[in-house]
Amino acid sequence: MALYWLPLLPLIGFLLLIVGGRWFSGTSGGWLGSGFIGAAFVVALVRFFGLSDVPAHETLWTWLPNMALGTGGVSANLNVGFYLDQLSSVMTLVITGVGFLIHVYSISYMREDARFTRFFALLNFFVAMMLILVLADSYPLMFVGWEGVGMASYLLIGFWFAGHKDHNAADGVNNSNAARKAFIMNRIGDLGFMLGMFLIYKVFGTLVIPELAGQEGTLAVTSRPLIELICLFLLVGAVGKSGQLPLTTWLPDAMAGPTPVSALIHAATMVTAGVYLIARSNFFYDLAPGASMWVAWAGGLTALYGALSALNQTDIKKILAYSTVSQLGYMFLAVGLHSYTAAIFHLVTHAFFKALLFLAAGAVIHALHEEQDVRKMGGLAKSMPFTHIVSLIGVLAISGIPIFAGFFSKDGILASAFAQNIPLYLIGLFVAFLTAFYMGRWYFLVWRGEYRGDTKLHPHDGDAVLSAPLGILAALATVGGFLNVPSFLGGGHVLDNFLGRAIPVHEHEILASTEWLATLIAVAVALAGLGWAFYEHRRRALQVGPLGQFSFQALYLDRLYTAVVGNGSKVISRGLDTVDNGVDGAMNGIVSNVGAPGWLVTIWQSGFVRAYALSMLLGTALIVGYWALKAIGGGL
Amino acid sequence: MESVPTSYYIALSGILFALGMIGVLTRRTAIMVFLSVELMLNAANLSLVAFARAWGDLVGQTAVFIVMTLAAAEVAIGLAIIVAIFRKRETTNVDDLASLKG
Amino acid sequence: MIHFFIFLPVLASLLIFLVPVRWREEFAGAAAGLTLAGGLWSWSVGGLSAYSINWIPALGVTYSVQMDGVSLLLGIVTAFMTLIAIIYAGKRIPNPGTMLSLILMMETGLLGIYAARDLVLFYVFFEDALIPALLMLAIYGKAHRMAALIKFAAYTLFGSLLMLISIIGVKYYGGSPTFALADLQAHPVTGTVQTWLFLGFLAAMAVKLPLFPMHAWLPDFHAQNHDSGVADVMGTLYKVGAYGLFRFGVILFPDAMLELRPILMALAAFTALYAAWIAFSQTDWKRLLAYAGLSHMGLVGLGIFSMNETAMIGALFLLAFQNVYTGALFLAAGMLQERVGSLSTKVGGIMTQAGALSGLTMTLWFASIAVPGLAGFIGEFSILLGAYQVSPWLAFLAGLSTIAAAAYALTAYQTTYWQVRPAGAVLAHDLRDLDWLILGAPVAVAIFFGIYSGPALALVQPVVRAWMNGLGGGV
Repeated sequence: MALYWLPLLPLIGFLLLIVGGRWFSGTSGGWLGSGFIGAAFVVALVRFFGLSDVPAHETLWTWLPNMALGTGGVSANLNVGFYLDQLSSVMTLVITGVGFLIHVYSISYMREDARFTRFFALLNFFVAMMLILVLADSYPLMFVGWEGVGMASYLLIGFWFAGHKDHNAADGVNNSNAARKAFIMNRIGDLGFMLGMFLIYKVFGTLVIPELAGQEGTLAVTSRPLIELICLFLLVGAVGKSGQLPLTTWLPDAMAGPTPVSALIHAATMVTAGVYLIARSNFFYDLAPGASMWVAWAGGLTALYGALSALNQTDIKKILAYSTVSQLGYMFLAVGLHSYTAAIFHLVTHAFFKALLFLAAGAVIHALHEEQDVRKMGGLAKSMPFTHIVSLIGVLAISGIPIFAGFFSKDGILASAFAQNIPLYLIGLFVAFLTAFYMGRWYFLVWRGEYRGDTKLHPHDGDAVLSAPLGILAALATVGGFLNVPSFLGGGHVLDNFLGRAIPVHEHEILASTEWLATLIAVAVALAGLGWAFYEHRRRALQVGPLGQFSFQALYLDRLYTAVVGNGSKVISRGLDTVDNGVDGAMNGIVSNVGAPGWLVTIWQSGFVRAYALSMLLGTALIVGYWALKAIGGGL
Repeated sequence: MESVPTSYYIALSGILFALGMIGVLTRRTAIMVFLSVELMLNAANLSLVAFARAWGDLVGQTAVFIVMTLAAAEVAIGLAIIVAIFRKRETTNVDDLASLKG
Repeated sequence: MIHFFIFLPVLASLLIFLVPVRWREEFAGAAAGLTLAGGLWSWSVGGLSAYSINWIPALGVTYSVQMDGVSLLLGIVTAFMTLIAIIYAGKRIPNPGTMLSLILMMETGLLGIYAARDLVLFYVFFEDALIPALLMLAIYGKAHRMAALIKFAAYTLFGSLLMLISIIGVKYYGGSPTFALADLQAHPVTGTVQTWLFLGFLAAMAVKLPLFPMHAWLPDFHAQNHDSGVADVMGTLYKVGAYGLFRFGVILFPDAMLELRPILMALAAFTALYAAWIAFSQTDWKRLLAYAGLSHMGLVGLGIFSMNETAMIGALFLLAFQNVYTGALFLAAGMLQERVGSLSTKVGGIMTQAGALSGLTMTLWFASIAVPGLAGFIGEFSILLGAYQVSPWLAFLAGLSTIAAAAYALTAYQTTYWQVRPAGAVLAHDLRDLDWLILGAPVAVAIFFGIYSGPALALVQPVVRAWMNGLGGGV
């Protein structure tokens, strides 16, 4: 199977569903859309098993002028081309695999929506773009997927642009605003990505990734500040797409979209594109210690920011959203420390357990008829036993309790931080504690205690279509960690070794005893967090007081942006509009001054025919007189 | 037969032309202005014919024929315009028709 | 064949008055379709070679025309959008004979501009296209059309006059026997004179680019034109300044363009950002589109002025394809006005009633704000990439306009097509019969050439390469 089948299959699904939306009645459109993703998953599996040490590189047709290297140093036109190595292969498996499960889940979740088929069209479009992003052989093509997923995210966050169900006006405005905010903040990052590409082109004369990676000689002699600058530009792009500080505030708002969207786009796949970008550009980052430190600190601080903001949220999805911000911070921390494989490992396990948590939250929201406030939940463990069990697995996984997936992947990141940068390690450890606490709080508020909501509702587990993906994801979140068991626990670093054939693995020399100790500390911290949550929230719902408010408002970052950037740019825009009228006015002023003498001439144009006749007479007389004088005077 | 000297014709032509011009400048009725213009045209015709005879050349005669046909067309159009203006404005006084003032 | 391509529309624009009233739409459509077919045929045979004959020998004016890749691409796009505009005009405007005639007349002027290889001939076509534009505004415009018309005419004529002087100057100082481009190129003007002559030429092109501060006619021109947006399509096509600078400026005034490069690039980058930012606070779709178009033109100017091969390819690519989606967006605004009777950006909730109209409009907007995979991206990306090689800071400044573009486009889109339709508002019906073609065809073009840009690049790239090498290609 050629690589282009991977994005092409979902794209065909998208075209069929968007053009022929009316042909598919009932849930047939959903099954069709899921089928295309399933087929893409099969292709991804086939290509995964066909991988060798030589990456597959398939080029298609000419696309951009002058942006690749031709023979003899002459620039050639850039082709659309796909590239598959171990890194992109893992990504395609996650995207199509988790994507397929979420598609199936959506068939049940979105069943009653009037635009059911449209939803699947957009989901298919998203998967196609995401696959282009990870399979691209050049930065501009990656940018196609990059902005394409942004576009899909925009359309899906704003899926209920007119309000959900009852066409509630305020709801519609909120959803639309969230979508627009996501797109615009992504655009800020995208400009950074573009500037990075421009600089890469200026230095290396090509934007094709394998060509760049192959230029070891040029890379080695290129001045360090240039490489650092390239990496910083790319970091801006990655930060925008992955909701890292300072471009983080769009991601919690993005929860305005339907829950499967939050699971697929804003947890499992799209937001990890920034991590992928940096891992893909490892040949630059390995040469840029300064920029890498920036990446690591951006990640560390975002992890902290997300965790602090998640502590006191009331919306069941917002808690998970801030948790996603925080977990992405972990991944950035890891890539910043050049532990690319650890970051990708966490990316994979996070896709499992965060998708699981979101889908479980969706099942709860569904069962409670669109109720999202955790203060009005509680005690659901009795009425929704299956969803409760899978949620518990998700909570244990994200908290880093042993044998669950999150334990291994988070431990890998903490170990590499411990070996390289103690302040970042301490931040990571603290965030692990906070994570266990707020996820514990989430769990206790939703599932334990007494039911505090509307007593007319009778929540129950979803149907088989809704539950099957939850079960599979719960299984993956349980055993996913065994992909990459570290050697001190008797494992073989399977994923590290696999990815190591494509991206560099930097081994850290830590004594096994130290590593044991670090792991025990991490587990103790996680247990402490869960215990504290149990103590605090067995009965009580919300922290009040200034600190609680500080957390609830997400450290007031969003308000700050709205006040300074949002309002600022509006004011400037109106100002410029006035200036533009002023430019117009200035031009008019010049024109009227230049034209002023013209009024003198108009006096002559009296409108009286006889005056014109007289003018003609005088004029003729003058001319004749001139010639006559000339004739008489002999050329005076 | 003793022919009339050319200068006589030219003088007559000049007088006619001057009369026409005075008419154009002093009369206010469009019809009279129009007649005066015709007078000036014919003055020019007269001098053309006179010179043609003096030089024994037919070019001047030819020109006169062209001017006469054009004048006929011009009269038709001009009168039509005057009639149209009269219908609209109820006047043919050229001093009342100054709406093209710049 | 080349004469057929150029003059068929003007012939049709005269003959249309002999055609019975009820067949005029079909007649105009057939003429525009035939012209487009002529353009596509020329493409299939690889362009139309040069043809030159003396026109006014005493003045050294020749009739020299040629359709090379760049001319052909722009010409085909012009023919395509003219056809679309005619279809919508026939559908929207009652008794549209005059409008159709003006559109066809303008098409000849535009095709002539692209084909002309003689400066005086270029000037003639340049002015020839102006007259129908003025008449469209005068006959079909809105209440304050006279002010807009006077402004438009004043700017254009002022610029053209300076251009005429510099055209004469180029021949006079260079000592060329004719005004044909090939001759002028063989007798170059050098030194300070070249700079002054370039400034005269630039005056006309800056008005038609348009470039800050010569742009003030543009928003009023669009805002006062007929609601249907048909005249705006032609107005968009008429923004030929960048083409003139590429075709004549680069060849005749290379030193002056290099000398003034930093200033001109700064001006163009500023125009791009300035216009995009202003567009953010517009509440009338046509004014918004006018500023959006101005912003694109700033980017095109940046590409041309940077004198970088990649940027110049991108500039011509963007110049050609922004006509498609900006023009189609004007028509989409016209369709919106047709349905709700307003061009306001605060209408709200159109997508809940007219899904296809909203969806296609959204796709066009995504093309317009340069989402990759659509035609706008290739142009903008190449321009910014090329400009960055010359001046990183100015590329950054112009790059900021991509953020502003997302802000103004999505904000206006949201408050018009998303959110909730106000209670009691008229029901907006969805696309009907020919509407599908009018919006669908430009969308298809924008998608096709955004993904498979090879054919269009093959037209532009060789010409730009030859031009940049200073050889002038096959002139």
